Order: sequence, then C-alpha cells, then structure tokens
Amino acid sequence: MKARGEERKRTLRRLGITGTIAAFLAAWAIVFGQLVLGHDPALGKSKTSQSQPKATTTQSEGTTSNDTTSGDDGGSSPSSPAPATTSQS
Amino acid sequence: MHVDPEPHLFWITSRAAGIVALSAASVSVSLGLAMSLRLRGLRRFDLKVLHETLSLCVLVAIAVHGAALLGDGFLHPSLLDVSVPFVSGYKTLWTTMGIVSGWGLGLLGLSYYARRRIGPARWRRLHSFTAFAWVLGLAHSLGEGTDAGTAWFLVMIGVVALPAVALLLLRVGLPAREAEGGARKALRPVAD
Repeated sequence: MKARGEERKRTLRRLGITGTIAAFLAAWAIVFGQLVLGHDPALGKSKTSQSQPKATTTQSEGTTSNDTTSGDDGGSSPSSPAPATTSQS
Repeated sequence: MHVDPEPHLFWITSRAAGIVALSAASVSVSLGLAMSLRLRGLRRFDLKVLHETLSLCVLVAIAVHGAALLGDGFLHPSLLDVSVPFVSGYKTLWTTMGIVSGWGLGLLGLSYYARRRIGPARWRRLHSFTAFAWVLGLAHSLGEGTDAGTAWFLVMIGVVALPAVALLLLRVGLPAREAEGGARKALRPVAD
C-alpha cells in the first residue's frame, strides 16, 4: 500500500516536472517563432518608431531654421523620432 | 520580414520562463485553494504532491526568468536591478511588483519545509499570503510583460488564472472555519 503511494507520488512529480518543461519549451518556441517571423510585440513597436519619417528635426541654437512648424512647443518637436525602445520583461 | 534571433536569446528565455512561472503558479495556487476548500472529487494526496512539485517548478522558473535577464543585451540589468525592489529604472513599479512577487512566492513557498518550527496554525496563516504574491505576479506580467497584449498569452492566462481567481474569491468569501467544510457543501453536486 505504501509502495503504491510512493509510486503514485513519483508519477505525479514526473507529470508536474515534465509538464513544466514542456510548457517552457512551448513558450520558448512561440516567442522565438513570433520574433523570427517579425511579429514580436516589442520589436514590432521598435521598428515602427525607427521608421518614422524625419519630417522635422530639432535644430541647434544659432542655426537658421527653415521649419514651418510653430515654435511654441517648448523646444521639442512633436514629430521628432522617438528613441528606439523595446518593451521587455 | 525576418529578425535575427541571436542577440535576443536571453530575452526569449526570460520571457518563456516568466510565462511558465505565471502559468505554473496559477495552477499551483488553484491546487492549494482546492485543498484548502476540500473540494469533492479531488484526492488530497494527489493535490498535495502536484501542488508541491509545481511550486518548486515555479521557483526554478522565477530564478531562470531573473537570471536570463542578466544576459540581455538591451536592458543590461544588474543583479540588484532584478532582485531588489525599486532599484531598476525600467518600469520601476511593475518591475518591483514582479520582484516582490518572486521573493514572496519563494519565501512563502519554502516556508512549508519549516512549518513545524513556525507552528502549523501560524504557518497556515502565513502561507495564505502566497495568493497575494501570485496576484502581484499576475499584475507584473499583465503590466510589464512583452507578450501581455498578444491573444495567445491572454487566452493562456485566462485558462490558468481564472479558475485560481474564482477559487480565491470563494476562499476569501468564506470564514476560515467554514472554508474547510462549507465549501464542500457548497460545491456538492445536486444529485449527491
């Protein structure tokens, strides 16, 4: 009776460990796959921000500006490209 | 469009480990609550063995989640960044939630092996805070997780976390003494 209990314990432990390892491999494969295929949520955002057109750039002081946008934005251009960032955890 | 995965391998590993930690923790919390509520049709022995095994797997997954981030070429976090609350400058609040959750799950989970020294009643009260640590982990993954917005992640979290949330609400709704026998009556099949 006790031996059967130990056997069942071993089976359940194996089930838990195997299931966890399988879940890890599946999660790794999904994340890897979406990254390789270009569907990664974080890298997708990064690509978008990097490919924004550089319509206006921040001008340094003393240079002549051809910029037609209003200059009352506190010095920061609203359409200046955002730094490439990825959301990670 | 294809992306070279090589620079992201540590990050991928950390994400996968985080997903597994949350999933296994959700199932483990459900099993723990099922034991606490003494639900009918479930063998306490099986629940206990699986609960313990999954809890230890969660701790390994959390360790891998944090350790793999140390090799990430984008964040370059230090050991303190991934292990001490409020140190990391990256999404500080969400990161802190994850760190507190990780330590909470670790300490409260491992307290099982010191329950005789702590005292069974006191340990039981202490161990019930594991659910709070799990909720923090859930918030961390939904608030900061890279995959939190993807359909597959939300479906997976729904499948593993909603039963735990339901059992937690049931457990919280019942007074401590009633929880043991009351839930059994409450969940008894009509034909019984």
